[in-house]
This record gives sequence, structure tokens and C-alpha cells, in this order.
Amino acid sequence: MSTYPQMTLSGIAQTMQINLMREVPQTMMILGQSGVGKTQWFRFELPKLVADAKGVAVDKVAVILTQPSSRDATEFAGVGIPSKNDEGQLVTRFSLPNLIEQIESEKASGAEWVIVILDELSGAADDVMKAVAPILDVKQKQLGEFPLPDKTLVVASGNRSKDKAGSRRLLGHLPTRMKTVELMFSRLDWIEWARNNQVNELIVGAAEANENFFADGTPTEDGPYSTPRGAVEAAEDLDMFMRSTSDWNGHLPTWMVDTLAMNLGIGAANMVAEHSRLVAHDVPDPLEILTSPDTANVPDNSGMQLLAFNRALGSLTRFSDDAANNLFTYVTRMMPENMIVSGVELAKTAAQKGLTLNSAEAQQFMIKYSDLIGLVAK
Amino acid sequence: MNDISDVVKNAIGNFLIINVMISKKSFKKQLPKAVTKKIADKIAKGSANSKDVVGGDTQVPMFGPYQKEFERMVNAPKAEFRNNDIYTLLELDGGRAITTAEFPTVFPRIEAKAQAISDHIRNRAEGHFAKWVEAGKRSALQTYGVVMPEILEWLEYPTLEQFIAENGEIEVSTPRVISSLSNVNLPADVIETYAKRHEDKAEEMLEGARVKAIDNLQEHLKLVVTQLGEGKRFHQSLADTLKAQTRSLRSFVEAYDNDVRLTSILDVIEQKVQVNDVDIWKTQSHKRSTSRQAAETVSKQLDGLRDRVAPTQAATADTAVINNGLDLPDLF
Repeated sequence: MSTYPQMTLSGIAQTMQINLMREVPQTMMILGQSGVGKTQWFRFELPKLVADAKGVAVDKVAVILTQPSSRDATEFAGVGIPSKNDEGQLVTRFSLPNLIEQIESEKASGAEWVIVILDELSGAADDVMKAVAPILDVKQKQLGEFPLPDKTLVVASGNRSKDKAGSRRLLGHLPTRMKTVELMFSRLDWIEWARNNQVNELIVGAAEANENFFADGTPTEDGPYSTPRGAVEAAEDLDMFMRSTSDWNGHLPTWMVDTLAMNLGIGAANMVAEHSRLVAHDVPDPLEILTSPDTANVPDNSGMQLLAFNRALGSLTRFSDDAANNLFTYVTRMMPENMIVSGVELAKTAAQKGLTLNSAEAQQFMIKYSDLIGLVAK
Repeated sequence: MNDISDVVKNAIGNFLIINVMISKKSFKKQLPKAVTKKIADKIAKGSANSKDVVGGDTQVPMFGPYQKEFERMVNAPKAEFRNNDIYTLLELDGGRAITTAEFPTVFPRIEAKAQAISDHIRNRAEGHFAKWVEAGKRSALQTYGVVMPEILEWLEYPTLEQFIAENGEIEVSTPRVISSLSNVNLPADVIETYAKRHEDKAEEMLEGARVKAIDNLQEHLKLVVTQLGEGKRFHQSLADTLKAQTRSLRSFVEAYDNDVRLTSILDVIEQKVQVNDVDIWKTQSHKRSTSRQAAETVSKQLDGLRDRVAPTQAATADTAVINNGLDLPDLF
């Protein structure tokens, strides 16, 4: 069991902004399951934060990615070579670690700040962890015999031992040298990021409609499972598929579902296929239902109505406090047999999500059907 | 279809009202003004000898050095019973309400506890009252005899029998239903004339009780938020009261209108705010933080549900907004 604080990427970004206000920022390490975007965040989002905080152009922030788990300790600490000093005595000198050379090379090429990402650090051998420990410490900033060049930010990422990725607990002295946090993956943050980055909407929509679209940890069974990294890869496959299929009608052929499953696992791939089918059946998307509940399409089919409702229910917290009241308006347009069940479900979910369901319609509904609600609620 | 008659009539049948009388006398008597003035004058003139009279408290504790023992043996059990067993029941129709679902367990427990406390007080009084009176008289005479020689007559000590009769009994009334005209043997037209008034009255009482129950819970939630924020002064009662008020509102709502919005919020309180043992809040900062955040959120949600138009108006309002006016139950 670990006791690292857990944060979402947006929380980590806030912490990092504070950290970057220091003249010499402290190393931060993000632990978390595979494929949730730890390294991605360091590579593409952190440079923007560094540029903002240090007042430099983002293209003046260089990123060096190194994987201690596939390196020897001597590559970081340098190799001891006997050589003579001025008095002619034989002494041990150390070779310049390649990482220092890379940093200096980036600086020579015009980089004002350099970010060094120690990727998969928790998978490194003990002697490697010991070798890199001094560059993690803001007071030491040294690798082997050589000081780390100024304006270098060292960060690290890694899996947890429970992620079954060959990682294990960090040596005890490492977490005392840096800020270490466990990434709490936020599906909603990912959806927002994915939409801003034009990830295929079928994948994003499926993730939005299904709370369990992404695997919660590493499954015990062998095989692919759904992670944000896999979702982005699957989205690219879908883009290619759609481009190559001129008469695509919303249905995904079995072979395509299997292709998606290679990156997502079969469960999430089926969710994408189901979502695709819904789109073909004029099931409105959550945004439409929650912002235009009076006019959003209510499918004739009872099951499709419930699917439309459930997708919107899964997206409630993306919207304002009125989202629950708006969804209730949509519920009142559903078939009677769906109305009571959905109304009760909405009331329960709104309570769980901290939203208030207090429109006049909702109140009228609760009184008018109190006996049926009592039966359904129990 | 439900209309006001259904909701209120059902609710009327779902509650039983009891009245509980708990006398709680302090056995401290305020000195007459003339006597307190006399004491003040003596002190002012500097002639007051500390052996003769003591300034300060103008209330005479009738049991002298045994006043605290009397409080512990007689008044404390009654206060505990009142706070934990009676005040946790909702006020309704001039009494305290118990839902019919809970009545078979709650009412016998209240009766039994009331009887046990009465027996306890009687036993303690029989064993200690004479000692309390004797010590009280001696103390009163010693302290106030100089300025008020007639102090013992003025204090009017009761006999043991009078003391037990006045302090040892807890009266639990026979349960009754909320005032209603149903089952009254009157001509139908007369019933019809007055039934609406009774239903309106009942609705007013029930809505008042609903708001009161929400207010009580919200007030306590605010206390929880404050104390969890400060991280100190945790007493077990902070958790126990929260649990009692959550339960009280839940049983009321389930017996009244089944408002699933409220019961869902109560679910959240039970899952995310409540703890059984206040030590959890004392020792686990994470739990303290999550409880506090959840308490803040549900408090806001309760705010949004507190005020509403009366059920009569809601039930008889234009129903076109719901399902295009279709009468739902007829379609089942």
C-alpha cells in the first residue's frame, strides 16, 4: 500500500506552477498505472508551464527523455579512469555522464531551460536509483562528479508495483529528495483534453458515455486493456477507417471492433461499437440533452431513450449546476415507463455528484408520483 | 394519480404523536431582592465578615455540597433521555412524531427507558434525599443565616414523597394520530365541508416539520464543517447527533412524501460524511477532509430543496409540463 498523495493532472499542474516559482524548482515524480499520460504530460504540457513561469518562449524549453530502467549506473555516474594529476600521482577521474553532455548540447543549441525526464524510474535497478538520487535533490543537483547545469528541471515518472509493469517500490531515500505524487486518472479531464486535441469523437463519446471505459488498474487477466494511450492509438485507427470507408453508416464491422480491441481490450472496443450504433440511431449526445433538453431528440425506442439518458447522466458533472434540472426536463419527455425509473436514478446521481435537483418540474414530479417513486426507490 | 388528499392522508396515517413530560427542577432558589441588597450593603461597608456571609452567588443551592450529586443522580439521566430519545423525534402537531413503521420498536423503548429512569431516581432519592436536605439546610444557615434567619422556612424543602412525585416521574402520553376527520361518524356532506380545512392544516404541519428537520440537519452539518475545519474539539456527540438527525429526516420523508431527492442526499451523508467513532475524524486527516467537503456540498443541496411550493399546489398545478399531460399511472 502506498501513502503518496493522489492528484489529477490538473492538480499536479497547479502544484508544478507553485514549484516553478522557485529559482531552482524541486524534482517532481508522478507514479501511476501504464498509459495514463504521465510521460506525455511531462513532454508536452510541462514545457508550457516552464515557459510561462520562467518567461521564455516554449521553443526555448528543451526536453530530454531518458530511461534509467534500461541503463547501467555507470552511464549516470560516469566511469572511473586512472589518470595522473599535476604532481604525477595516479588518481581516479570520472568520465562525463552522457546526460550532462546532452543537457549542455541543448543549451549550446539555444535552449534556455532543459527538462530531463527520468522515465520509468521505479523500474530501474537499485544501483541506478542510487546513481540518479543526487540529481533529484534540489540541494545537490549533481550527477557523478559533475554538477547539473543551471536551469535544468529534473522530473520522473514510473509505475507502481501493483501495476505489474516490472516496477517496484522506490528506494527509501528517493521520495525524501523530491515531490512524489500518485496520478489519479480523471476520465473527464481526459475527455476535455481529447476533444481539444481532435481525438476521434467516437472514442471520446464512448469514454464519456461509459464510466468504466478505462480500466481501473491493471487487470488480472492477460491481454490488452483500455488506457488513455490505447484510446489515442485506437482513435487514429478509427480516423483511418472512416477515411477509407465512404459509405460508413455508423456500424463498425467485427474486424474493426477487433482492431480497436487490440489497443482497448474487448470491453471498451464493444463500447465504441455500441456508441457508434447509437449515433446511427439519432440518439442525441449528452451535450445536446443537457443544454437543449426541450428540443433534443427523444428516440422512439424505449431502450434508446434509456441509453440517451444514461449517457447524459454520466456526463452531468461536466456541466453547470443546472445540468440536473435540465436532464430532468428531458426525462419528463420520455415514455412513462422510463420516466419514473430515470427520475429516481437522476435524483440519486445528482445527490452523489453534489448537484441540486430543484426545478418546479422536479418538485411537481416528486409529489405527483410519490407512491411510485417510493416503490422504485426501494 | 396522487393529489394532495393522497399524500397528506397517507402521511396522517403514517405518524403517531406522543407527548412526553419531563420535569427538571434545579433546586436552586433566587434570594429575595431585599436580602441580596442587605448582603451588598454589608460588603460595601466593609463590615461583612467572611465568616458571616459570602458575597457572589445569589442563588441558594438547596442541597449545599450535595448539589452536584443531586444533579448527577436526578437531573442528568432525565436530560440525557430528553436530548437523545425525545428531542431526536420530530415536532409535529404539538408533540413528537414517530412513524408507524418505527413505532413498534421506538415507543416501547421510550416507555421502558422512562420507567427505568423513574425507578432510578426513586431509588437514589430514597437513599440520598435525607442527606441532601440535611447538608443543604446546614449550608444555607451557615452562609445566609446572618442576613436571612428565616432561610429554612423560605426554602420550603419538600418531603421525600413530594420530591419523588415532582421529580421522579416522566409522563409519556398515550399515542395519538394527527388530528383528522377521517373515521369520524358525521354525515358525508359535513365531513366534506371540513375535510379540506383539516387537510390544509395537516399539510401545514407536515411541511413545517419537513423544514424543521432539514434546518436541524443543516445546522448540525454547519457545525460539523466548522469543527472538522478547525480540526479540534471533536466530541462523540458530533457524530452521534449527525447520525440521529439524518435518521430522523429519513424516517420522516419516507413516511411523508418519499422525496427521493432528499433520501438520496441522506444516502450521501451516511456514505461520505458520517463516522461511527469520532476518533476516525481525530486521527485521519483524509477522512476529516472528505467528510468536511461532503458536508459542505450536501448542505448546499439541502438549501436548494428546503423551500418549495406546498404539495397541494404542486399536485394540482398544470400537469401539462409532465409527459405532455398524460396521466402516468393509467398507462401502467
